[in-house]
Amino acid sequence: MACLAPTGASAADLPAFSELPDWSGTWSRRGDTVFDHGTWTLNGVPADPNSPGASVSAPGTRANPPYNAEWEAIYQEHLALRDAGLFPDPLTRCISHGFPRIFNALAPVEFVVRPEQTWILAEHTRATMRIYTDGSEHPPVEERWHNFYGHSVGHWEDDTLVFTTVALKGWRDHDSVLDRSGLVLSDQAHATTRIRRTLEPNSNGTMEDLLLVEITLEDPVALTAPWVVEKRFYREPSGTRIFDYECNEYNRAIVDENGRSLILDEEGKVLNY
Amino acid sequence: MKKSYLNLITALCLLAFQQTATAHHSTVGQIEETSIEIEGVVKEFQFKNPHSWIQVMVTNDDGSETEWSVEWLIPNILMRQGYNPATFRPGDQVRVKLRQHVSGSPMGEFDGALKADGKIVGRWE
Repeated sequence: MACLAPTGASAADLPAFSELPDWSGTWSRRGDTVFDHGTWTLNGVPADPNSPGASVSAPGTRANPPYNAEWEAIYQEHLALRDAGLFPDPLTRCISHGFPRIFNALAPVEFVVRPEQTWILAEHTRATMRIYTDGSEHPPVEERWHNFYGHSVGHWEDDTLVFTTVALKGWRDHDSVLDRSGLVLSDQAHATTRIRRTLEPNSNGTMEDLLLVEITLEDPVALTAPWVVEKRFYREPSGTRIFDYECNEYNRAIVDENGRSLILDEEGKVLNY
Repeated sequence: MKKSYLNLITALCLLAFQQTATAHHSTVGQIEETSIEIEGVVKEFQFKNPHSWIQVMVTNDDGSETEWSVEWLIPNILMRQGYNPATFRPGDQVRVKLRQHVSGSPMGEFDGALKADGKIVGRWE
């Protein structure tokens, strides 16, 4: 009975803890919460690229996901809904980010590096993503369960974690998006991600730790070419904690059939319409 | 109920600050750009995810009371900014600046508060 994913490496083949990079502590993304930076807005207004939290890419430059015509039309529809405040973001319904949106999460994340797995633990939506580095492979195509985080396997290339992700939900159920702009891919999307730690000079002239995340997205259904996106995470001061985040604890916002976000009082009465 | 309007420049500056406050749900076109001020008594500080809410009882000119719902950031971000569930206590006398919902409902996005003891919470300019 095949209950476990096949493993191609024995414990002896895995790197020792001491050989793995130090990614301890908590890390916060800098920059915006979208992948297509040129379409980023604040409260419906095109964002000033010089404002706090703005994009790390060239100001005002759309990163241009290479959609085919069909999926470009879907994207434009979503952007229009976003600008009208009517895009039904799954996050409003407390649905977890999924991959790769986990790298757009608002709050800090942790990267737990072990020889056989790396865990990405995001505070926002209590997200956990597991990347198996034990030599196992992706399940056969016909056995794949498409879900929010998919299935990830990888390996180490010196200090760089390289992993591939398959079996994502995509937009098949209209509940998994890449960011708040409504960027979506199909359930045939797959990705190759490279994460490495480096140092970057800050405004004080000192060096600070940076985890550079580079994701190459491919989708034979939605994209005409691979699309490379990047996110940057900086190490928070020692002692920075991850807090609990149960989105359903007291969610006073719901989305109606028209995509409107309704705010409720304690009796369930709609306050804002 | 006391209301006073902040200047537009201050309000625009607050837009950037409020990005994370509205990240869980859209407020595009729903929130006034300028702040108003209310004065009342804290009924409850709901320090809960995904957003915190300050419930404030305001006595109207005719003597009736209105409960205002003032939405603030997620508790996790507030904790890192030095706030906690005791930042507002039931019975606290407060003046609160908020950007009201365009519907005119007694609700809005929190900008700042001045407590009776002189302590400032958030932005008070």
